Amino acid sequence: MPNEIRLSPQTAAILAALLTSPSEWRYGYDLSRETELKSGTLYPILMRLTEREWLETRWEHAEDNGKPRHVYRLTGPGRKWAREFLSAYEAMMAAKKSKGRVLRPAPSKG
Amino acid sequence: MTETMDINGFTRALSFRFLHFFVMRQPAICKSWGEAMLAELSAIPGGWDSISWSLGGSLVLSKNLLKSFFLGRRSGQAGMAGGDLGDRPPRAELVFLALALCMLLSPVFRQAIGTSLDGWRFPDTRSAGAREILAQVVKAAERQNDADSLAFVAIHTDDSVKSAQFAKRAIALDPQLTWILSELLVVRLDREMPELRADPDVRSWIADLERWDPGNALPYLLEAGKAQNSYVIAAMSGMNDRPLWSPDFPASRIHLEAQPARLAAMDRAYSTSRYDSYFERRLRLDRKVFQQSGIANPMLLTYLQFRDHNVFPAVALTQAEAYSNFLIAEADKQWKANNKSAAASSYRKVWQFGELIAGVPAWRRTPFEQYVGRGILFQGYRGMQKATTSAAEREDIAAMGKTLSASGWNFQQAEDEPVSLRWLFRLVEGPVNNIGKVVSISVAVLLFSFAATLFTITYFLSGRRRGVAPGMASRRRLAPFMMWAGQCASALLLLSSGVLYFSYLPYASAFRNYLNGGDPLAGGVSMRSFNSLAYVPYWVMQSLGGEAQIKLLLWYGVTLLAVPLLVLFLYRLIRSFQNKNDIRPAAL
Repeated sequence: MPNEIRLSPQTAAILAALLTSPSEWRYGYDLSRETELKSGTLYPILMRLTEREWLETRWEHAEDNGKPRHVYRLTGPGRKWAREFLSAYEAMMAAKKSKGRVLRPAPSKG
Repeated sequence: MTETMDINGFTRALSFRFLHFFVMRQPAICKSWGEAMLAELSAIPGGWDSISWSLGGSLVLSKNLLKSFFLGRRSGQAGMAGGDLGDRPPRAELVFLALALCMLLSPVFRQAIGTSLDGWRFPDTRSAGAREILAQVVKAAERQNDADSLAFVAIHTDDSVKSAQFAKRAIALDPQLTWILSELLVVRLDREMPELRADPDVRSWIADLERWDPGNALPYLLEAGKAQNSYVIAAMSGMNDRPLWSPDFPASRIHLEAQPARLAAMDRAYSTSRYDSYFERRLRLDRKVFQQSGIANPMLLTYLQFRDHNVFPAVALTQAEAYSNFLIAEADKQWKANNKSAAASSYRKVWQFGELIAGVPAWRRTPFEQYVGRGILFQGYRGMQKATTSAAEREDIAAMGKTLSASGWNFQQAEDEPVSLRWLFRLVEGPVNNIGKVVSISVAVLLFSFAATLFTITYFLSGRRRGVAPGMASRRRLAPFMMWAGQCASALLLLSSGVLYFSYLPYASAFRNYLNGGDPLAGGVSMRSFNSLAYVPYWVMQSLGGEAQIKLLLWYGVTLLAVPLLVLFLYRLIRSFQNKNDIRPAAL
């Protein structure tokens, strides 16, 4: 049973970055710079997404130095889920902003 | 420029090696993720970025490593994926905590914790815990009208009025308990002096005691103490504005000639053939009442029995000492006046009385009795050495010296060094106290790790209920560390619990044996050994400069850890209550 994915701002930031050009393969370090997340936060989320098959991974040789690097891209179902996730996240943030309270997210069904 | 490149190259190489260390130790299923993090380092320019990348990655990997170690390989990838705070229940911690808590089912383990904590709570009869236990005994004693329990309460209660009432009832029920009056007298006579007020109970109690045990020197020594108090109180009347021992006050201890009542009582004491401070009876009574009442608190028992061990019974023994000095001074005068037979008789009298006190079996006397007894004995011995006139007497004295040496008495030490101090030093040395150290340290570690485990579990459990408030990111970055800390703390908790249990077993056995009538001072671990659990080991005391300091430090340490835990717990409690009314987004 894969772990639940919570409506965390970190997950939202990663999904948003991956959705900017969904078909493009992304490097871990690039995602880290774009989302300003440290590797200790980024990778557990990438692993969780991969575990649910919402993220696909592969090894490829880097263009600049030819060294192998791990790259990531949302799968088809992953893109759909990511958009739903971000909508739910935004709705929650909006509700929170209007009420001035922290919301507890409902469990995802992943 | 070259220098910058060198630094970047160096930090990148360092980061690579650091992360590589963790990657190589990963289970196969997670290794590829470690390699992915490692591969990214080739694209990071170096400097702080590469160090930060390496540290973050290593935290994720080390957390996974620990998890796979504690929960097995199956947890491998799930453990890594669950790295975000609160996504995984702290199963290992809960298991360790549960196992450690299971140990609480053992009475020995409960006693071990209670005993060590009692030491930190500065146990005495005025402490809340001790008062509560004594109150239970009082209730039971009143309900059952049990003479022993009433006597026990009479001895140990701080309230002098109640103490007298309980003693009266106990003796009425069982006259064989009349000896408890000596315990009350020691306290009352001590109190008379600073208060400079005669205690009406004292005279009648001394008379009762003398009637009940006329062959014992103790009641007469107490009577001498009372006579001294009366002399001082009378002499002090009209001098209330001066300190008790001011230089112009007639030195009552020296001017024994001016106190005939005191001298007469002392002489009667020195004419008896027995000295018994009833110390052994007190030990037996305490033990019996503890057993009857089911009080499994060795620290309290040890405290009650040995609290005044080093000075008991001071009031009586100071009289014995004073009279010994008086007799020796008189004998020396006679010796100078060439009245040698009278002098020898006095020296012998001192010697014999010293033997009465010091000759009591070790387990029936206090260290103070041993100290004073040996001192008096030595005074008499030295005088007799001088006073011997015939060859036969000299042989007798030499034989006495040999007997004393054979029994291990060191006269030089008896004269130069306070025996009670040596006894105290012996307490904190030797193999027994090595076990004591283990117990003390185990309890300290146990408490600390228990607090740390609870803290971590609360943190994680509260994390599961947490919303997505911005600003939580910094706290989430702590997650790998918290998980690592929690796992270590809970493992430490289990380990320290086990060590505590096994290292305390000899103490539990000593307590059980003692309650069942065993010798309190026999064996490697005796009832005295409990003192080394209550008090900080001597070597620690020396290095810290005072036993109270480390107790306070440990107490503060645990308290400091408990405070954030409580705050966190209360905060989460309030938040979870508030969240019941929050709007929830649609399920994904």
